[in-house]
Parts: sequence; structure tokens; C-alpha cells
Amino acid sequence: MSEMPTPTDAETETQRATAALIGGIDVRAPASLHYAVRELTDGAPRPQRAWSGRPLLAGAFASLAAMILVLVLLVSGGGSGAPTVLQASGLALRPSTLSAPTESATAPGRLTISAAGIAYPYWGKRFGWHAAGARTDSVNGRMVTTVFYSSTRSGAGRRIAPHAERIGYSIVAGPALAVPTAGHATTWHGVRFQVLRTGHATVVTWRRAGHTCILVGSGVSSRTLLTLANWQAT
Amino acid sequence: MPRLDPQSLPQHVDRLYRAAWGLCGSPQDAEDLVQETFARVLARPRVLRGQDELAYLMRVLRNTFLTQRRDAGRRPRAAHTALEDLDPADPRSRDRPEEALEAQEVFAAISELPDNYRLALVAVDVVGLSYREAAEALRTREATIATRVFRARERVARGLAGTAGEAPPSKTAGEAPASKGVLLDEERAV
Repeated sequence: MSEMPTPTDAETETQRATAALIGGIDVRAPASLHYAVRELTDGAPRPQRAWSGRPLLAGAFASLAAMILVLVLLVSGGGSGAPTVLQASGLALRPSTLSAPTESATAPGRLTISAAGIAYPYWGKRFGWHAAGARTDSVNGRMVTTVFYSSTRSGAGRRIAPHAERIGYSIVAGPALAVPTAGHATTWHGVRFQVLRTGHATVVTWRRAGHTCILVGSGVSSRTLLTLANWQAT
Repeated sequence: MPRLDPQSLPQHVDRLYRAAWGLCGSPQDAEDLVQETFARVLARPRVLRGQDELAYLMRVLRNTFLTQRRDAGRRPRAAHTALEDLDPADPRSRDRPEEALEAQEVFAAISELPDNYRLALVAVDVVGLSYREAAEALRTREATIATRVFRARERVARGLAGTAGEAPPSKTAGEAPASKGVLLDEERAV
């Protein structure tokens, strides 16, 4: 390989400026990616260190830790409380068991179905997302109502996700659930949304009238979910 | 032999994401690429053979990128990302749209480079590896990395000048062809 020719002053300046420009870009990864990586790392096997040569002792400590955990759960009543947002969000990916609700004749922009006093939005005309079914579940004693929407190409209004599949919108009855610490919070028009990723699904959760609302989509961008959630919330 | 600690990896996500964006030319593909890279790395315990964590991740990112593209027959999609496609989950995309747009233009210019130039530039200028670390990560010689980075910066500078409406300078003699996806013999180009 031949030697690099000595660069001219202009070439040197171009090199410096280009390197500085590229190196100065400070774009952060989306919160959903951070969340996905965190999930992967949390589930990954940790490298063995001090215990590697002492499996029996390590096993004894693991058993002791498990016993302590059970005791803590029993004393604190953990495990029988409210569901988590992630638990509830899993329902939005399950099949529907009820027929699709229709747009309310008396309240345009809303469906005929409601949960905890909150009417589900009708997104068909504006966004091309039509109600495709519904289901109700009880999770840790809480009623969770989910309406499924699917996008269509024939929506008369603005289509924001023409190739998307299906999304589920769940409302959890009772007091609002704890907001997940994972993911990223963003506020649109005064409403605070938490965006997180679980597996291949994107989850957006927010509170409305004191209840937890959850919008879940697989293969649907967080922007789409936020747009839909925000439209309903305002 | 030191092992890779999974718990230390999330600190590299932002840097890997920028690197992936430069390789793919699209933030959406970059997100998939980074996720796939971490999934591969974390599939089983890994041993760092004298490598820095970041250099190791760069090597896996490069392998995953090339494998994905070979399998899918995909090309970088530099020109198809609109500003409104940027994930609103990154608050700085909203708060500093000019910066996001600049990043988009720069990464688009990088993604137009031939593979070898692109990988070298991403390893050095985006990830921040030294020439030696980049050479180890990309399994080539240090002098080769230096040459590729030099040529890559020239091309990116010209590409950005063209974006800004200036006439790009004519190609220098002996310059390698700019076809995408072709592994160049940069020794010939120097």
C-alpha cells in the first residue's frame, strides 16, 4: 500500500471540520429503544464472578434470597394488588371476543362503548382506524375493557398509518395504576403520556378522568399511537 | 479473560444508534439494527478478547448490518426520512428540530458512502474509536482505516456541500467508484 499523500491545508481543514461535524451530532436513541435494550440486558445471563467456583454455596444463597422474597411479598401483600400497566397492556394484543362497536349516533366522534365512564373514540373518519372488536377481562380484580381498531385504506380522512395492523385501547376501571418507570414521558397539550416498548409492541399510557388508559400497537409507531391518544384525550 | 457485562451495555445505546443511523440511513432501520445487535450480543455470555466494549459492539453492529442487508437485499434509505418521522419519544427531536435535521442530512450523506468507507467513518467519527480500535473491530489494518476515513470525510463534505446547493467538486484522480454496497480496494485509491 502506498503512502497517503500529504494533504493540503484545505484538505486538512475539510477533514477537521467534517470530523467535528459528525462527532458533534448528539442525537439520542428513542426511549423505546432504550427500553428494549434494558429489557434485553435485564434478561441476559450475568457473567459469573466470585461464585463461579462455589455452585453449592451460591445455590444456598439463592434459596435464602427466594425465601426472603416470599416473606416480603406475604408481609407487604404484594402480588394481590392492582395490575401493572404492562400486565394490562398484554390484553390489547389478545383476540377480540365481542363484536365491533359502532359510532354513536348521538355523540359524533365517539363509539357506543364506554368504560369507567369514558367513551371510546371513533377514529374511523379522521384517521382511518375503525373499531374491529372488543373484549373485557378481569386482572387482579380490576375490570379492563379493550377496544380493538384496525386501519383501512379507504378512510375518508387523514390516514396516519396506512400499512399498520391492529391496535388495542384498554381502559382500566378503578383508581389509576402506577405509571411505569421504564420508557419515556412526553407531554402533549397538557396530558402526560408514558411511552415504552415491550417485546415488539409499543405501549402508550396516560390518565383520563382518574383512570389508566393504555394504547398498544405492534408494528405501529409511537408517533401514531401518541397522535391517536392525544386526539382522544383532548 | 474479561467477560462482557450486560448491565454495562445500555450506556452505549445512543452511540450505537447514531452509528446504525449512519450505516442504514434511516432512524427506523437504525432502531431495528441496534436492537438486533444487542439481542445477538446478549444471546450468550461473551468474552472480550482484549477489546474495549464499544469496539466489540461496533464489530457486532457491523456484522449484523451486513448480514441483515445481505439477507433482505436492502439498500440504505437515506432520502426517505422526513423530519416528522423522527420519534417524538426523543424530546430533543422536538425541541431542537434544526439539530435533528442536520443529523438527518449528515447521516444521509454517510449512508451514501461505499460500505468500507462508511464503516470506517462510523467507527471513528461516530462511535469514537481510535484508528487501532476501529481496525480491530473491522478486521483490517490501521493504515487502511486511516485511508478510508480520509476518503470518507472528503466525500461526506462534498455530499453536504451538494445538499447545500453548491456544486460538488470534481472527483480526484484515482478515486474509487462511488457505487453503494461495493467493497472497495482502497489501497488502489491512495
